[in-house]
Amino acid sequence: MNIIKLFQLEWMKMRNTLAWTLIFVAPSVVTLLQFFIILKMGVGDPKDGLSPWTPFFQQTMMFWSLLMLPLFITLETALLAGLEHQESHWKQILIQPVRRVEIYAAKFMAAMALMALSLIILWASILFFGFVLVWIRPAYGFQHNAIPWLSALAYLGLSLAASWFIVVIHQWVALRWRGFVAPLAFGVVMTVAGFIIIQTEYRDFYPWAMPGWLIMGFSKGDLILRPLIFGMAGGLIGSITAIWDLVRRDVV
Amino acid sequence: MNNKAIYIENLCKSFGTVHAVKGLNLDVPGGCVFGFLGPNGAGKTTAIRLLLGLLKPDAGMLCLFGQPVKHSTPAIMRRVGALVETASSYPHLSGYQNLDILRRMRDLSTSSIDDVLEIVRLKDVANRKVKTYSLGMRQRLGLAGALLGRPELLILDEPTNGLDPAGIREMRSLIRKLPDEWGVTIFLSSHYLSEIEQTATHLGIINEGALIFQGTPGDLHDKLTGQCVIGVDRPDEVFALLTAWGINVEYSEGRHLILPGTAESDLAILNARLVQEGKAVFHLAYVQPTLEDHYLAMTEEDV
Repeated sequence: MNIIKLFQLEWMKMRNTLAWTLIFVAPSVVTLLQFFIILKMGVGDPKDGLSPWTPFFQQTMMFWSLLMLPLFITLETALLAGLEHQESHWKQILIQPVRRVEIYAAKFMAAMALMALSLIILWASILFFGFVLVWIRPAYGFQHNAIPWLSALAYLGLSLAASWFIVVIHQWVALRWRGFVAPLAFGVVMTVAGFIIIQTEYRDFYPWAMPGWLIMGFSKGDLILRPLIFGMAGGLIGSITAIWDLVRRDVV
Repeated sequence: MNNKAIYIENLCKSFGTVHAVKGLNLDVPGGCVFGFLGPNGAGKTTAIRLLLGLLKPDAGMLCLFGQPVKHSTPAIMRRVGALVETASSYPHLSGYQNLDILRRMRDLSTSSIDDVLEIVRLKDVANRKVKTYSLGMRQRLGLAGALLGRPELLILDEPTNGLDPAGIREMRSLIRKLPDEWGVTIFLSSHYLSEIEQTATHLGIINEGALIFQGTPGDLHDKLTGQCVIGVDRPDEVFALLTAWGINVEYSEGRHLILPGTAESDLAILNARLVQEGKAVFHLAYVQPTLEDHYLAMTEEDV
């Protein structure tokens, strides 16, 4: 059995679950809030000649990366792991004729795929609310400016790469410990600590601050390499370590 | 060792200071229905989890179909189906979808799902979400999952746990017909002798992590020895008299005495001698213990 087939099974299991609903709801809520802020405050100064899509997209990405993303990862990974923890489903899955390494690798892949999908939904919701603004606030000029596809792709790619490490850490915690409380408490504590650490010099190395810090820098025109490299390296090394640990564990 | 479905030698597993399995030896021939008996906490489920590679043994050898079991042994696990304790499923998916996930993991055709649904009689409700199933239906779905791909060895860990009497009967009849219809070796664990007695061709009794009996139900029957029980007016006097005659005697309830070493054929002579001595005997019986009594005695002896 190959990992791709197991990856497809992970998607099958997610049908009609809260984890699946959240992928659509969480990004849409962030964009909706940003939409209301724009309605109230406007979007930049039209005389600057800048595309209103850019601040709309940048501000939404900042909001997402700094606050929602770490909490979203916490919830998603806990809910995904909960699918197997409920009714002790591990004992059914791990006695199938499939190598454990492949089972866990597929789970880590599925979690990252969910993150990618949530970013696509985020982008789609920005487009949707942008077009709503064309209709209800034509003075903002969304209709006169091209949609920044390349810039959007760069933001989404950077956010995904920098969040890999957090996804791995949270999934490891969620898969290792049964129940919802421990992973949730861990995620909330780490996210709140991130708000403080992002203001310090350690923000390049703190996984929960990396995506926010990277996006903040990128929106000012700087590509800050350290959080990007640490996020990806941490994701890779963390995945290997987590899978190694999970494969060796007893299923009680 | 190759014609043995399961072979276990000196298997040990501890959880901290608790020794769940202590030097377990087991030999399950292919094609049989092996009843694995033991009281709660005897180590049955731990032994089964070790068998299935869910736990790593601390020591000992463990083979399925003559091949050592380790983590991630897909080639062996393809020949094994198992239901460990209560059946687990994804309640938000239908019965069919649950089986479809297991089918895909085993690389089987979709027709295999219909086969097992037919056997466990869940075809009509296959498209209903599992969260709407009764406990009995969930257990049957678990059994269906274990049967996918027609395994050569079926390991069922207390499959009637939590079922009502009708559910137990249904599950029992399903298990009973499988060896004939599928030619499968069944390893069935339970703490109820009555459940095992009706289905098993071979027995293993485990207590405190070690095997205390292995053989056929007939072998266990052969081990049964009855005992004489007499009821007398003055038990103290009769006790002294019997002891003086060199007969092994024990007090029982009320005015009854048990004579452990006395054969049934000696009862008439004993009665005549007691009457000659002027002792009134109002009850005389030879009690043959049931398998249940013997099983309980065996497992309680060790405690």
